[in-house]
Amino acid sequence: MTGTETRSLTVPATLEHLEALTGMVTGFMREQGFPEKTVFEMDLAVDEACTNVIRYAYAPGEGEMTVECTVSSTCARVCITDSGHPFDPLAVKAPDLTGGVEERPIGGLGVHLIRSLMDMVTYEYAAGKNILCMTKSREGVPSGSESDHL
Amino acid sequence: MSTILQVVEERRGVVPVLFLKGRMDATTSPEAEAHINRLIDAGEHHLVVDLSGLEYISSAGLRVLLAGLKRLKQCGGTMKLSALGPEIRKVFDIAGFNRLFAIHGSLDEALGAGPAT
Repeated sequence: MTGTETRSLTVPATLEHLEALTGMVTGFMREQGFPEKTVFEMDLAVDEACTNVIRYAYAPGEGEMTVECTVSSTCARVCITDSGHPFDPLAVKAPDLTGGVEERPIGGLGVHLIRSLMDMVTYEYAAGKNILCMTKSREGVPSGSESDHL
Repeated sequence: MSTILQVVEERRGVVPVLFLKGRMDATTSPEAEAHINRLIDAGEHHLVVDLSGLEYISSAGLRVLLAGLKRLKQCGGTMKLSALGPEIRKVFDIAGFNRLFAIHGSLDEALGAGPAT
């Protein structure tokens, strides 16, 4: 074990800070040698989760959010914390992907993407805060040589 | 890094082709949406959207493409997508969008295929 390193950023929960949040995570993961595929998937998951917080956690323009990224030799873990309305994104029903164009609802895909791309997602509401944590293993690490290459 | 989305429109014959380059996220996707809506408002019913330069798409970007497809379907139109990179393709697959859109390997293929579903 080489231990862990953590980086975090707290910003007002507005769309203009979205880039800083995802950029902090992707920059850190690249520095730590994660493959681009994994960086892309975490980028997307963090984007979706943060966009949900920005849109729904607070009254517009109010409140802050924190993104904390912890990297170890085996995985990256990102926790997103806000003090807005209690909301468990994991309680959202999976979207129905079988319909045609007409019946497909616009939206509802963000949480589905997070669940599909991450290895583990947890949610808790504690001390007045929503805490969503997403973990992605470092692909290409020895252990488990059977990967999902197509 | 940039969170810029570049929207470039070109005509190939009579077909309008939109090239979306960069990132389609919650911040940038409204620009693509406005462009697609302008074309549909102007009476274009068959669009080709080339994604060869698209580096990133979130559900906000997927939503914009689906909204455009829905509008086009209502007037008997089509939206064909071309040249999705592997990561973009994966997002489409997870979202089930591979079953909603006509997806072509290259722009030439999309242009040669005639109006699809």
